[in-house]
Amino acid sequence: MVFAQVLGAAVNRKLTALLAVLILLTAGGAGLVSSGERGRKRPRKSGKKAGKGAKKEPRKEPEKEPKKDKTDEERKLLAEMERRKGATFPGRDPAFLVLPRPGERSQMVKELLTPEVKKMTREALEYLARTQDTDGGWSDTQFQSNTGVTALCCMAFMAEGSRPRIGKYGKHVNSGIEFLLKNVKKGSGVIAGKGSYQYGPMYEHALSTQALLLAWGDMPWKGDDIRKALTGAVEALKKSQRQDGGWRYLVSNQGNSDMSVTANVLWVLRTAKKCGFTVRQASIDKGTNYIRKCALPDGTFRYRYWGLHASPSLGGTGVIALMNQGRIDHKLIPPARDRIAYDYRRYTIKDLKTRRYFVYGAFYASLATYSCGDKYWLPWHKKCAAVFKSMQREDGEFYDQDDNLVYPTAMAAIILQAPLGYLPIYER
Amino acid sequence: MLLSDGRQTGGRPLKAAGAQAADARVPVHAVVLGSEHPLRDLRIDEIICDSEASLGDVLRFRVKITNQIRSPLGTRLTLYEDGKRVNQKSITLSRGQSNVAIATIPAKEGLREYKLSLPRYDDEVDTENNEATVHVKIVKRNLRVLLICGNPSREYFYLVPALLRDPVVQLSCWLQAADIDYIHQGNRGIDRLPRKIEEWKDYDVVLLFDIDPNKITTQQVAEMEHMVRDGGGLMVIAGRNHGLAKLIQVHAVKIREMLPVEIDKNRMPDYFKVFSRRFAVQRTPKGKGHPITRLDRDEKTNARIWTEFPRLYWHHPVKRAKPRSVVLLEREGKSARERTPVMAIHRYYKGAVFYSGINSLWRWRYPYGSYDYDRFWTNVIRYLGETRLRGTQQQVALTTDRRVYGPGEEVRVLLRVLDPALMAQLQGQPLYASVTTPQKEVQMVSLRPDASGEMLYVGTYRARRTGSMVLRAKQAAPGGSSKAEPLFDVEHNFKVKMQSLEAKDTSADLEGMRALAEQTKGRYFDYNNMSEIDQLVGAIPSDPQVLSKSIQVDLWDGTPFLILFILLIGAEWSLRKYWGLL
Repeated sequence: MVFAQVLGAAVNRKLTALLAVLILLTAGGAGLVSSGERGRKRPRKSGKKAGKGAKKEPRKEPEKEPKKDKTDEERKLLAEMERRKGATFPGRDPAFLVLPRPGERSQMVKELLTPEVKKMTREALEYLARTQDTDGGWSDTQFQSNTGVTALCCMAFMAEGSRPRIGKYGKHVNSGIEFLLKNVKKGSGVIAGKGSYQYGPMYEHALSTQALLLAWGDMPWKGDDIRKALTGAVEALKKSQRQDGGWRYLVSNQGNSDMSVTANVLWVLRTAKKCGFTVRQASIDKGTNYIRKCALPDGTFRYRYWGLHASPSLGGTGVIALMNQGRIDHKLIPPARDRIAYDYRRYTIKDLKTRRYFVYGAFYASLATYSCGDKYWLPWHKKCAAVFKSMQREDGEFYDQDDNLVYPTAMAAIILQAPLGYLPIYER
Repeated sequence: MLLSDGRQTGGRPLKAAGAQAADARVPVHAVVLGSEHPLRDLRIDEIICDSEASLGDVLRFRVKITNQIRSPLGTRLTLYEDGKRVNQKSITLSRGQSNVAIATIPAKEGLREYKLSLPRYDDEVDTENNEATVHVKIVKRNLRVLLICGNPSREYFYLVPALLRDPVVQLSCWLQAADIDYIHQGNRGIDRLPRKIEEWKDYDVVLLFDIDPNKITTQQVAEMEHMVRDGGGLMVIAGRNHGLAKLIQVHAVKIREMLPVEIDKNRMPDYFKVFSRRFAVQRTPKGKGHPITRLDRDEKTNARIWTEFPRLYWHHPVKRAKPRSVVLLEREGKSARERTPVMAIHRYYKGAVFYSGINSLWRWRYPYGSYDYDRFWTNVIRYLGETRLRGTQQQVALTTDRRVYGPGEEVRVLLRVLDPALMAQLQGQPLYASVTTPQKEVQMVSLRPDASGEMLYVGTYRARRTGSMVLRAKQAAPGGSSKAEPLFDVEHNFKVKMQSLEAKDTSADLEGMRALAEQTKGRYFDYNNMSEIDQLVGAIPSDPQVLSKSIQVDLWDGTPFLILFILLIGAEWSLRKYWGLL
């Protein structure tokens, strides 16, 4: 038995040793099961030098890291969806137009606010700041101590980002607005000073109302004074709508209207609606109907609907007035918009700057083209800035055919700063 | 001669086997099959998306794709909704796993099937994995937002369209200064403010923008507080017209409790001061990671945008931020005193309250138009309304370090808190996750805050049983009733299964095989020098090779000993036979 046990142990040991050698010779074979990749293209470059036997290996090309996708797909999808939907007025009032969101960050500011434009703007604003009267108002060659001119100057500073008592020109805006409030006529609510236009103060009143509406939410120290002034001012506008649906110089509902004043008033009433004032839609519709009657098929507008000649400066006013119905796709808007674009493309700087009421027309055209998108706005603003560059005088002021200096400077400053997007009258 | 990919699926370690071969002076000539890259395959590993999405809103799919074709690989990811192509995206993938996002805007309600598809390439080992399908329930749901504004300041002009541009927002505006018969703005017009608790609960988010405290009753404020406590969102924007001091004076208890900052009730806005000095605002470290301040997916671009925003002139004075609030934005300054909080947020029971001391965010329309401005407001509203819209689930992410494990492996459970305000609310609270096996056995995993300081809770679980496991983390609101709806209730699935070791890694271990060849003084061949394989024949000697080696043999274990032993045993047996002893 002992013998058998010893024999068995010896044989087992031998077999174990033999087995170990076999395993060794198969080089850990049990574990090394081959499975390779076939059909692979041979890379041009190789890695480190191989084992002893390998002479030279081709160099392996390092694999490039792909670029990261930085576009915001979600925003683009939403923008595309909204673009297809177009402008909407989601509430019960078509005045509150919501335009589609931008699909990406706009480079418009960087493109338009060149150092040259910034310099022109700075000089224009400094000119306005210097020319402010001691009573807070502004005067012009034709319009002494005028509320309309003052309103435009305040809006020029607001376009820079200043608010009453806040910002670089906070003091100027504040005293300008105070001036407007001082010139509110008791009873009628009309905001017109002694230097109002000889034929009637509607321009001054409308522009002053616009400036007050924009400043209202940022003048808490005025308490209810500003609210009361605005209530009276908006009421005066509503009451003075004439039978033909429009407005004219006199704050009265008698007589005929003109397209320029009508568009201005409609524009102001729209802002009033946004600020919480009730304006009947029927009144807006009547006003817009008047504008429609003044429109010509070629995209121009007549000063009065029975007139023969179209006025080139009225294109912008027409577009912004038609937008009051909450339809940026109003059938009269595309020809009017294209006409403005054509005018600024077709005519030379010299032609444009010698045009009557050029700055006035440009101001309303800027409001219209801004809403129509960068396709129209960018070339328009560039051309306009080029005209302004040729117009700006040494002290920073601009002018019109009657050598008024302040209101054209204020309007030009507003246009030049529009790309900032700080003045709510520019809507997108 | 060893032909292998070098991947070990069992047996003794390659290094040890190599050492043994080297000791035995056996040169191992290693011929590598395969390359360092896995077998050619392009596959969709996982699609991460919400199980429920809003009609008309962006539905985003995060897709994990593994590219084993080449790098970089330019390909197309196509998204189908019920078999109809809705989006296609050109993507460039590097080798290995990448995350790609693709989105669509669902236009129909109901359960929709979304298929993501990648093109098939030649010689792919598996082409079925180039497609993956998920089902998403599309429901019509909106964020009902109520904006109460004191006066129509300039911010108001821009804020309303910004809110209305969000497709899920149903906006009701209430302008306190408006005419009595005024038609208020918004796509969900109202004629009066809510008066009953049920009416307040009809809103998900309420914005109080410089409100006149005398035009809202204390009862309305109390009901609004209840709405927030129940998961709603509140944003308080301070302005110069009324200021927060006045609001606190009129509605002290609730407003003071809800605000994430402390306001000096005696410090009224300074109307007579002209603010002509500019100051910059900066994101705090916590603010940098907060979803509200994320204006771009790319953090570098985001940081640049924040530095490009123009300076401001006015902000509401604040005493300090409350201890558990998260300051997102502060006034830039050298000392801590100068760095006043201008935007802060905190969790209020199940809801959230956001404070903004700036009323001129419209300045951020420069330099990129309304893009970032709109986005900021979308972020704020979505954040505040998220609890109602999708539950707080979106503010935590429950995951495991892998999706598939082998039995006995350690599963790392990660609960990432995406909202610093929620993290502050969870401070000091015990957190657990449960793992439910297919046999319905439940095991609790304790989650502890990560030591690195990240907003992360970590726990471990040892996989014992195989099958699909359900991981769940559920947390009640601190101070809330245990019966109340939980603060978050999130789930995550992972699998424990026996894995094929062959398929685990299909790349070749070039380095291991090279080391083996070098260790045993053999030749090494891989796809780089395979053309020289004929040299291998020359390396193997044709004559029988005599290998000399010293071996240590125990004498008792040798053949002579065996023969001697047999002889002795034989002699013993013969003698015993002879003597008749057997």
